[in-house]
Amino acid sequence: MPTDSTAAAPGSLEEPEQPEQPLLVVKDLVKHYPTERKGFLRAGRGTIKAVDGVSFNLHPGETLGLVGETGCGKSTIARTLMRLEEPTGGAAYFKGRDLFTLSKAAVQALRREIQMVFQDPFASLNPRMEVGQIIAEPWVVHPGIVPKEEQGERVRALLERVGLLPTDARRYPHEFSGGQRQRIGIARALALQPELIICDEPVSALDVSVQAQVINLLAELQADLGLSYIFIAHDLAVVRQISDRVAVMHLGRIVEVGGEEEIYVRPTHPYTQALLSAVPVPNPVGRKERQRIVLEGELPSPVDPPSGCTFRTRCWKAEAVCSQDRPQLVDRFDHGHPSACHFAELQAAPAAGIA
Amino acid sequence: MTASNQMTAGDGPAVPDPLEAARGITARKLLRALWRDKLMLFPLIFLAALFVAAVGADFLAPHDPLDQNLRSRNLPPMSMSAAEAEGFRYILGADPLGRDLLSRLIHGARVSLAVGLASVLASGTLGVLLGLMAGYHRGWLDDLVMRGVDVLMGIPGLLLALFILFLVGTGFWNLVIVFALTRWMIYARVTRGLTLSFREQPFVEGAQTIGCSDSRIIFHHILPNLASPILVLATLEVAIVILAEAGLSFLGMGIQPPAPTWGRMVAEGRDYITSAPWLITFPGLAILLTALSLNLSSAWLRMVSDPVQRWRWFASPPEPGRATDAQIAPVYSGSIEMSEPAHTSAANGHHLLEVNDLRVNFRTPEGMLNAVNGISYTLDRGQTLAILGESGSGKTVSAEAVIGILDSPPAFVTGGSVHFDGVDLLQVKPARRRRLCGERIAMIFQDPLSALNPAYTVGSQIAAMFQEHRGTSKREATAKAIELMDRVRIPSAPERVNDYPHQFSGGMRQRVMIASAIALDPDLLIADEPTTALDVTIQAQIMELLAELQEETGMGLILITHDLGVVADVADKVAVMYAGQIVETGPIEEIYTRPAHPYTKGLLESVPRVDEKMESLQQISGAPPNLRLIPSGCPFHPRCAYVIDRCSDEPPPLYEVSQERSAACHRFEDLLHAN
Repeated sequence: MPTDSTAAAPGSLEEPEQPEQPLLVVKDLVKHYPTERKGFLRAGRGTIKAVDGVSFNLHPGETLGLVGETGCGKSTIARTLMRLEEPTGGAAYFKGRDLFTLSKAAVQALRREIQMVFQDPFASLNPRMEVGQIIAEPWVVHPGIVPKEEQGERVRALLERVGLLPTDARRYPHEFSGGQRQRIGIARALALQPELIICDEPVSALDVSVQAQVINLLAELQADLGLSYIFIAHDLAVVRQISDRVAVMHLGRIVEVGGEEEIYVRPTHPYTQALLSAVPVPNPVGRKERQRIVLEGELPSPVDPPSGCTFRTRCWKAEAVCSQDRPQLVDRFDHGHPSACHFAELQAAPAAGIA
Repeated sequence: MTASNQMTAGDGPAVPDPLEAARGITARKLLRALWRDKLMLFPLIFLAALFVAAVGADFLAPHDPLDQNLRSRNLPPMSMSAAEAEGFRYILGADPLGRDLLSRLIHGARVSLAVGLASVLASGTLGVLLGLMAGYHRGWLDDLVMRGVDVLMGIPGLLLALFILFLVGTGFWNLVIVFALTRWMIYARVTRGLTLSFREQPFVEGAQTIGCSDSRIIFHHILPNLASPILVLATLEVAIVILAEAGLSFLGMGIQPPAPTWGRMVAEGRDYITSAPWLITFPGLAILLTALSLNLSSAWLRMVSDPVQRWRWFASPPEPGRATDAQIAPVYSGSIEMSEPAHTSAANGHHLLEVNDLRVNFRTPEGMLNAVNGISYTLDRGQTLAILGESGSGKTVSAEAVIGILDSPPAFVTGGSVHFDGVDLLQVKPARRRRLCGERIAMIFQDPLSALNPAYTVGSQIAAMFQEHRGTSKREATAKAIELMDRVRIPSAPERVNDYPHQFSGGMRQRVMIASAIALDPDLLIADEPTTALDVTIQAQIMELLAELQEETGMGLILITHDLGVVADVADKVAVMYAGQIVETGPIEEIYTRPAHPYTKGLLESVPRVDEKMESLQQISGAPPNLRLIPSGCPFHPRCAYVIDRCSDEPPPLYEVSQERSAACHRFEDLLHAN
């Protein structure tokens, strides 16, 4: 009865001003990796808790940013949603159907509605295929969408749509710069006219002067085609620019989620506050006066995460309760902006200098 | 739509010209390229001739290869037939049964090639299929195949072949089957390894995400990428099989007499090696040349079958002194003088570091690459200079030239001077330069894992600085290493001093690098993207540490980065690089608040900010140029919003904007007023 549970599932996270049905509801997603491969003599010794109970909603036409440091599990979420990896637990309802219980054939059909853009524009295109073949391949795999004789025309139209030349169809990927390759990857993702595109660090491998082009292209496509995005990145500034809502992740869990402005202007979780304050702002004026939270120590290992709140080992507010009691992700200030900290408090983002 | 049109205009093909050569390969292009590459021409001609000989042996051989004439036994080359009635010449001599050696050689080519090609086809197909399945599906199939490979690799192939042939008997098809069974693991091993690595490639995952089936992924995405290495392997294997067949024939287990094979001919000639050396010489030569040609052409095949490499072979080799196209003429030949801003040329010896008109070229097989095209800057003690640029802007290469660690060749410093504390580093003897740079200039890198030696403990790597430069004893050096690790705030340094680099996290490794860099109290520290590989919270720690150390020691710091935020945080001065040139330089606050170069302005406006969300980002069209094809005039002009006619042919000098700043833009005044 997936439809029923969809209606019930969002409950606590549903935003009051968004009455329509969410496009995607992720509930308690868990992905653990064994640290050692099973063998004859020893069984798996431990598990890496890459994703450890993540829930979120995505509404049609919305961009949800997933942001966090290395190993926080943000890319694993993308890979499990795309069924590139099998989840350990949890459910993800896309338009009411649970992605994780679908048969192989149903997953194939679903690929038409959810697509992905990868981080590395150099490795994500097959070097032996011409760009035209790369973009048209989805239609070969899913026959009946675009008849063969129209494919050439559609490829040229897609190339133009993403800001390339129609004649580029006959070239090989290595003939393009990083930004152009990322455009090709976007064109391939658009070929099946999906409703949701998962972007996994789509601009972090690009030159600074090219990043803006790709970010603007994604925004433009969203406005024209009504796409929804899950936008995964470690760069907080990029995530702010493109996202409507943002979920901050730490060691496999979401520690704070809310509207873009809520997270960046009124962060309540100390980890969010520290992250934001650590990002250098491209403005040298008044840098001496700027207060910065510099966290002590290292990111804990996901193999053996701290008990209770996983951030407590680096947190300046940590008290005894933090090691015993894992803080739940609840709306503590009635903002529609839940955070998972016992001592969450409103604070203007230090780096933003808004105060 | 206007935005995307604009992008199209500026975002043309990134590396156009040399690639044109490889597009639409015609027979004529192929022949022309082949003619240029003599090393490939001869093997291919030889193999073609061999093929023709094998196919047309019946017509080409001057005589019947089986026709015996005992009166012509072991006749030397070019002698006349003993039977007057026939009256033909034994061009290569005759064998012990008086058969014509040339005819036997030609017919032998047929056997050798047929066995070689058929065996390789059979073993290759078997091996590649098993390798693909094992590598893609892993699990029990992989275990089974790989154990089979291990067993077969442990048995001498020729012995196994002999054993099987002994059981099943000889003959053409038996030979082919035996070779398939004893050679498949060569392909399986290579294919499996490559499949495993391709399986993890994003493009294979991309194929999964659009819904490709396993078989489509294997045969459409993975197999074409294996084509080059497998073709090469197969070519080498043809040679090996021909040799092995010759060996088996030599031992009497190959194709049975009287059919002529090269191996059997060698075997038969062995008994007459002193009296009739030609018997063994000619078939021996045939085997040698065939194997050599096959090996040579395998290298050629690898290049031609790969679209990424192909153009190199088709493109004409660079001819020095001839510009192939007006557009790609080198921007800065010696004739164009860069006028220098007053404030950099005046000083001498007063600055800690003074770089003047530094130029670095890379001499590559594809032509000259102008990485650094005349840059000048100065740095004082206690000062932080940020060199800001994108990939390929020359920022790292210029720093490597300063400290003297350029990879030479292909990189060469072709001009300019680097005065460090009054000494021109480019003029002093290499030994002195090494000592000077080793002690007084230090450098840290983006990736501390590859910069540290994985085989030594971090403590010994820091201690080595003292042992090498100061002659300190090992015990004392280790004590100092612990002290330094403490100073860069590595927790519990005395215990961790004996750990290896891989036992540290990225941030801690960078601290180790910093500890070893500051060990000898350098006057200048060059930090090349020191925090790019690190998370933002760790970046904040490292930048804070660097700032503190600079405060304590008063060293000069050159920070190389692409991150405008990091620059804004720590730099006193900034030099913005583009296509190997400094396009704008000066005090950080002035440049960030009133940029005088359109590139700086574009960068500042296009970077997303954590402190405000913009309606949409300003964008610079196009991509940074290929350093082989730097645009004429101002290198930024094809992407520039302020471009005027003058920009495309007149390279802008570094105009003095104010007392301490300069910008290489003809329209810098317009820009200043625009802000």
